[in-house]
Amino acid sequence: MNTSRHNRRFTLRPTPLMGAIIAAIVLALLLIAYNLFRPVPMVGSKSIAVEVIYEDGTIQQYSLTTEAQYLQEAVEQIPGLTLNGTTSEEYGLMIDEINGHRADYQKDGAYWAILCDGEPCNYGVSMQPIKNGESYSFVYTKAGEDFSS
Amino acid sequence: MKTTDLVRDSLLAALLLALQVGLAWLPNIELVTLLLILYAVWFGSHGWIILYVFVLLEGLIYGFGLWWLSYLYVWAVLMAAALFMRRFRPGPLSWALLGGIFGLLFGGLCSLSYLAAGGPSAAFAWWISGIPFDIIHGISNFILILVLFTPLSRLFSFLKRHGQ
Repeated sequence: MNTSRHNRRFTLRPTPLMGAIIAAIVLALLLIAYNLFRPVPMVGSKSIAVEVIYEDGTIQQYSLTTEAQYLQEAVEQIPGLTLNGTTSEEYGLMIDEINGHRADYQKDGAYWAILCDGEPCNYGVSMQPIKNGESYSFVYTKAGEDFSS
Repeated sequence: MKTTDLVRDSLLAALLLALQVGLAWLPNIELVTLLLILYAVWFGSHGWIILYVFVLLEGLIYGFGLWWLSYLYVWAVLMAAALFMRRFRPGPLSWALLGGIFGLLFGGLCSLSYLAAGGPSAAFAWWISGIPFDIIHGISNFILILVLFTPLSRLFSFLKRHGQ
């Protein structure tokens, strides 16, 4: 009996071919997931409501009919509503200030939460597609607090 | 731990941080993956010390946000995979493939930390919206490691021999 065969243990030895196959599978799955689930904007005219809830609970409300496809584009069309922040290629605009009211996460752990019909939006202001009849809220939120006010 | 090891690990963590900060303006093009692989290859388990000093310094510079929690485990996945592969003495192509796969999975791994904060749908949406950048990350990691692994490996070999 060949005992060496029985003593031989299975070892997972990584090879370039194995790596290439795994890389191709991961890349294919990412492309499929992106094409199936990426945010798709609505074309055409949309009526939306936008509100800003400040730190002291003051609420400002706006309504708008727009051809814009993303929230940032739409908000920029509203007179008297100004968003400021830092823009990155990956995440778009990260809002620091709305109408001069600053939410500084580094300083006081506060940020501007974006809600779509009362629920946290899935994307940032630059990538959030807008839908006809939907309402969007920018809420001054302290870390650890509920979004609702 | 010997003083020489302590000094070397600190310098390598500082190098990692300097290169990360220096290349931060390029979206998802980085040398951290390449350097962590080289640290695992040349300094074995010392790579863990270098890695977590780097993660701590990143937090001190950019703030300890949610992203920082993901850094605690995301880079550890790469370090563990590199230390596992190191035993088989693979060539540059295999290391480039490891870096490429890691880049492709980076957003998915980071999104796990968003599960607790925003729930599954927020984490999923965050991952999906970042997929184009994960693909850039994977491809750039693959090319950078394929091109730079061998020359930098020679340099690390030289430094290791002359640093004893």
